Amino acid sequence: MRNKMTLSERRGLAGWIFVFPWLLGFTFLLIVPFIQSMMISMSRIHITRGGYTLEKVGFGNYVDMFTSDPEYVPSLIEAMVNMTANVPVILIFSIFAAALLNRKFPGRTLTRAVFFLPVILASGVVLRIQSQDKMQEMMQMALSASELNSQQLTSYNLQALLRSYEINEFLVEYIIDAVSRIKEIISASGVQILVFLAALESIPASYYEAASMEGATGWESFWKITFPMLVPIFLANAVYTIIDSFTAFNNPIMELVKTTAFGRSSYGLGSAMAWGYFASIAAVLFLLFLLWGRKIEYYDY
Amino acid sequence: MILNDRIQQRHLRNLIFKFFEGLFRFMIIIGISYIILQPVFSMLSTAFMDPVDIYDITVRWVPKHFTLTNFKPVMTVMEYGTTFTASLGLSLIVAAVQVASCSFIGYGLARFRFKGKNLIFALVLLTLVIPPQTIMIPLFLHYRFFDVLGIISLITGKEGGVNLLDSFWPFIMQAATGMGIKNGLYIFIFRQFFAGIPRSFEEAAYVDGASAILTFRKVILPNAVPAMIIVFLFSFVWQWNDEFYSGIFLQGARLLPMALQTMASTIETMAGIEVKMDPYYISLLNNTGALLVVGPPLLLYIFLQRYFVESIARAGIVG
Repeated sequence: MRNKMTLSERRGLAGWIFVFPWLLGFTFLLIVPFIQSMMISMSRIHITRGGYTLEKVGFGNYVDMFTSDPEYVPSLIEAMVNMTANVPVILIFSIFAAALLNRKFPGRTLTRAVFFLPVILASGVVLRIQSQDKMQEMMQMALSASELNSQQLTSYNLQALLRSYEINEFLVEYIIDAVSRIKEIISASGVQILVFLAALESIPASYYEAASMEGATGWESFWKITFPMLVPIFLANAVYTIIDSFTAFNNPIMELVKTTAFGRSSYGLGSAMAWGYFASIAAVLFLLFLLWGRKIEYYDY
Repeated sequence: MILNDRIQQRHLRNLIFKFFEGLFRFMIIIGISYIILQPVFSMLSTAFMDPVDIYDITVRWVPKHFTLTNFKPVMTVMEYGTTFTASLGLSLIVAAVQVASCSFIGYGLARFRFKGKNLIFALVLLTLVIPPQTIMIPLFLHYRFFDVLGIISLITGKEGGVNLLDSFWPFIMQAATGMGIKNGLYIFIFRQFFAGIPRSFEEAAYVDGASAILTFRKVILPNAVPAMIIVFLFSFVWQWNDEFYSGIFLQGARLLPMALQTMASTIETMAGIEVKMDPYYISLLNNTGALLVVGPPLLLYIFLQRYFVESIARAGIVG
């Protein structure tokens, strides 16, 4: 009598048991707070002894943050610009590094270990301390021949070189900016390199063998085999880079929301700010999928 | 003869090409490795440097007077004993719980067929793209006035539930339900990994009458060690370095990142208002503190990196 369920039904039920903890968390620690956050963003909150009460203010907080808060709009713009500027550079750098690490050469294991190190070292406080460190500055100066600011000097040379090729001015600025932030970019690409590398390793060697039998050069097989197979991974990595910027140590929105909500106890305004940020991110992701998602062909490999 | 010459020529050309390719790769690898390792080296070098060496113009990287004197004030002010234990305890607990919960959930998504499975998987990935800033305020209030359907208030007779802030419970709850830092990513890693394990493994167990959970524990988990190591390492390190969640849930308690943040200024305040401290000496202290913070995960990484480095494809990060 007990076992009226078919085998597949019972297996399905077991599946629900496995995802049950996640469903709990998703409902009570994500969806509910998500809706509450929207409600809080449209209210003024009063903390009482036994909890808190909400007083509806409509879109007042949203109007406030755009019109009267001096920091919000610049911070939001800064966060979005940083993010958009970083995505292409990080993607290009990490595919390059992954291709480098995928070849066989002596000392590959050690090199890989070093390249993934930024994942471990990505501590916000440590990065912040290092970015304003006097000793580091001195050591870098010691390495340059002239005690002048050598970094700018080399940037000038590069800039002149790029200009002489008559490359678009915007692109020149972008490249110079990327080069001067090389440290930040490398330290943000650990996971992306890992993902690209895993994808590269999973491309069957037989594809390349077939191509080289037909007389394809390395360059050709990169663009005809490697690149097409990596396109879905590009999208995944782009999304990961965006996600990673949410909690980056120099994300200005993060600080602003924290000081507004917990420092000044304006929970409503803080929530509204977070929602504004979420809406901008959602717009970017939507655009990304619209432009890119359709073109992807998934391969079975 | 001519043929032989040609073969030799081609061989030579190949050799030259290989040489330059190797040289090029070597230079690039050295360059990038330098940028990555430079902060570590400079931390190591300054942490053991005697303050005298700061003013010695001949000392740049290798200190002339090795010393441990920098560690003493730094460790006292950071209360290294307590903060280290707190950070280590929290990171270990969270990492262990997350490995358990994410592998459990990932297995459910990898192996069973039920209605809405694909929707759930899509939602798992969706949780990643919601900025934690959005839900941070309600979560704060949720744990400040924690209650399950009013039951706790009923039992204790007090309004507003219990205050779970400044304890590890918020972290454990987030981790156990797959809602911690980047847990969507871990679930994804496990799901991909389990999908690659041959079904025959489990079928044998089922034929012998094992339940799904027993099969998972006895058959699947022992085969999933590479994925577990990767998730454990990520989870430990990200919790260790986290300031975001701990900044909200543990406002009173101190973990290493917060201790480091305020360390230098505390030492300066202790020295007195009229004493203006040398920025180079402060930098010495900061580097020592930073080494104390990144040291433990660095050691862990050195021990675990071979799993990490050699089994990326096997760990199934990409399907």
